Amino acid sequence: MDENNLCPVIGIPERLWVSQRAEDPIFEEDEILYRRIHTPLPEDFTEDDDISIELFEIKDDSYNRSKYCGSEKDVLFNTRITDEGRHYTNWGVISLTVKDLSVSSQFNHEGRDVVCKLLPVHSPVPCNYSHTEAWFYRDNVQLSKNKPRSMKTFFRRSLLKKIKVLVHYNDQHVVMPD
Amino acid sequence: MLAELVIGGLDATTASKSLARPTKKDNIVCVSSQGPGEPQRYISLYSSILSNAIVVNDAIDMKAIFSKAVQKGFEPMNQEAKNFVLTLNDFFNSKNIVPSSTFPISDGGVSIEINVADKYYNFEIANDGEASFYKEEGDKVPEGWDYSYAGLINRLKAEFNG
Repeated sequence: MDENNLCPVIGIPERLWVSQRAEDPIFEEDEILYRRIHTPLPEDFTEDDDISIELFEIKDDSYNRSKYCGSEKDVLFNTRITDEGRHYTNWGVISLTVKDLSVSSQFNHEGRDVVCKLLPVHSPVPCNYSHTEAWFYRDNVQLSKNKPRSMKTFFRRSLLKKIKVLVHYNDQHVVMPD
Repeated sequence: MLAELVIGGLDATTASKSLARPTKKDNIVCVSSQGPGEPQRYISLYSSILSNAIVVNDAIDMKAIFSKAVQKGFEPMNQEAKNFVLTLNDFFNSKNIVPSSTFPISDGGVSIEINVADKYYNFEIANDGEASFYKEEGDKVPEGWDYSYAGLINRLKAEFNG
């Protein structure tokens, strides 16, 4: 099924369709990346609080880039056709700037100092042109599968200090953007 | 919320005044409970009254982790991982170490966070037999090690027995 037929069926707004647009590999440092979260936070949460890394899973490390979104809540759309339009309506949304994501940091992995960094890579998927992945690098070598768990914890801790919570996860369904 | 401790129909304060002191034959059990924003509280029980006590918070609440994993659609923990987490639970209980949070991981297993003074620790126990150790201490460069289950418990003993 092509995008023109698929995306409306699962409720994805037209602005997110790929529509034969090419990838845009250039990211500005102040560009914002949105990510959905599946963990509630205390109502009185502030960004200065020491929060659990539970908030920030490092799994399929996907973001939406603000340049190609109409709203931060666009990241709550579920584009998997097998999920039949069941969007992540009660999930939360956090944001990071490209600069915050990409910063290099020192980490001692198993007794050896290494430099770790993440880089955003624009990788559109059907019905979500803004889709972006964060790629892991250790000493400038990309890590794909089998990233060491302790290193994932390091990334989670580093990024948690920089996030902004835009929408809290809650038990109620929220209204999706048009 | 601190669970109310009831011993044989008496509250803990009354019970401590009313019941005999423990003897050498009793096993002393330390029970802890902590709610959000509450200070840690410890209550000691001994075995002759333990059967009547409604208790108990372990360092790692397996039921809570299981329900969160189901809610999030995560892989369930396998038996080997569960057994190891129970070993860790006993270790933390024996050291009076109370994790600041425990939660399931998506590919099956548990993540445990501990804050002690200016140190932050994270341990992840995964279904695939991996067990990671992560530590931040003051301004030092954070360190991480990726072990087997046996490797992690040895490291924890070295870290917390000193």
